[in-house]
Amino acid sequence: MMRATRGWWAAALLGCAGTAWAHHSFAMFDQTQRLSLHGTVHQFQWTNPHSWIYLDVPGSNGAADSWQIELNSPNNLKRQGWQSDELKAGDKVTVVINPLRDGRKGGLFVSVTLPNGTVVGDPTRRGNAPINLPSVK
Amino acid sequence: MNVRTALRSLAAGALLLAAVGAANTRAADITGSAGAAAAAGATNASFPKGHYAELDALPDWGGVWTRTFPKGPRPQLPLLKGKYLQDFQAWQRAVKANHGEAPHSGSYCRPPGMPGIMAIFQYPIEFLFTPGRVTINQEAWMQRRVIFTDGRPHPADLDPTFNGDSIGRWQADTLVVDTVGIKPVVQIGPGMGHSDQLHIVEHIHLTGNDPDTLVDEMTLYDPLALQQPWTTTVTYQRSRNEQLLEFICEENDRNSGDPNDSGFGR
Repeated sequence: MMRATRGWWAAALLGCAGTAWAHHSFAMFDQTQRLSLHGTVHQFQWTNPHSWIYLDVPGSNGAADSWQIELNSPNNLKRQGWQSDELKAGDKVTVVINPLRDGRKGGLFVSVTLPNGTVVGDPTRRGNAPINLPSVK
Repeated sequence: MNVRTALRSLAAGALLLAAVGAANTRAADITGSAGAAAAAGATNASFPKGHYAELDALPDWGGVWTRTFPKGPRPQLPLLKGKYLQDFQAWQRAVKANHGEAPHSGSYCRPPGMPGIMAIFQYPIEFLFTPGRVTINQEAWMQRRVIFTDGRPHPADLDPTFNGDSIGRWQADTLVVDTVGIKPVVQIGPGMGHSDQLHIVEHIHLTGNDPDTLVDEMTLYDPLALQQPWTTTVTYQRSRNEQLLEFICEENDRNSGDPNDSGFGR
C-alpha cells in the first residue's frame, strides 16, 4: 500500500512533479471542494487505467441523477485491499468526491461508506492536499 | 548533424565508454564468451544458448521494486536552454492558466518512455536476468525495457523509440546502462523536451546498507537542450512477495487527446 507522508512530493502522488509521470492530470477536479453523495450503486467498473463508480442519486424532482466518480486504478486499489466486487449494483452507499469544475455530475473519489458502515478512503491522500497536479513554481 | 549521424557519433562514444569501463571491471562480467566473440567479429552475439549458470554470479534483484517517495529538499530540475527552455516556460504558463491542467496531445495511454519508465510512482518494476540481457517490466502500461549485456554496440542505423536503445555491462554489482535513440515526443520531465542528442547513463545497484533498497543513478546528457548534464537518483524498495498485475490501459481509456474532453459523461 502506498501511503502519503509529508513533503513537497505529496503533490506528486500518481505522478507529475520532478521525474514522475501520470496518465492524466486531476486539474479537472476542484480539490478544494468536497461533496457527499448518498445513492445507489448502478455500476462499479474495475478497469484500467481508472476504476469508476456510477451512482444513482435522488434528485430534487424525484428522479435519480447519474453521477460518475473516478477512482484510482485496480492495481493500486488491489494493493490497498479492495476487491473487484467491493461495490455491487444496488448497494446503498455514501461517496465523498471532489466535484468536477465544469459543474457536470462527476468527481474524484475521496471516500466511500459501505452498506455495512465501513468507511474506505484513499490512503494516497492526506488531509486536503491536492493530488496529481503538475508542480509549477 | 542529422539524426543518424548524431546517433552514430553517440554510439561510438558509448562504445568508448564501454571499453574504458570494461578495463576497470573487476567481477561478474557476464558478457562472457558472447561478448568476446562479438569483439572478435566471429559470430553474431545475439541470444547465445546456455550461460544460465553465469547468472548466479549476478546480484540478487529478485521480487518487485516500488519507487519510494523522495525525502528532503526538492531536487534540482534539469536546466534547459534555447528553444527547449522557451517551450518549457510556455508549458508552465499554460498549466498555470488552466488550474494545473497540462496541454497534451494523443492518448494518455501512451507510456512515458525513457527516463520516465524508471521513475513511476505506485506501480512496481521487476528485473529479469537471462543470458546476454536484462529485461525490466514496468506494471503501468505493461511496459518492457530491454538492456543488452552481450557486448553489442548501439546499432548504427537506429530508429528512435520511446525507451531508446540500451546496452549495459556489469561493473561489479552495478549495472551500467547507456541509452540513446529516444523519440522526440518523449519528455525528460513534465513539459520538458529533448534533442536527438539525448544520451542517458545509468548506474543501477543495491545500496550498501539495505539489501532491499535499489537505486538508479541517472545522468542525462543533451548538449542542445541542457545547460549541463543532469543527474537524478530514483530509489526503489523491494517486495519479495508481490507480483506485477495486469494493466490494460485501453480497457477503459476515456482520454481522447482532446484537452477539452474530461472523460466524463460516457
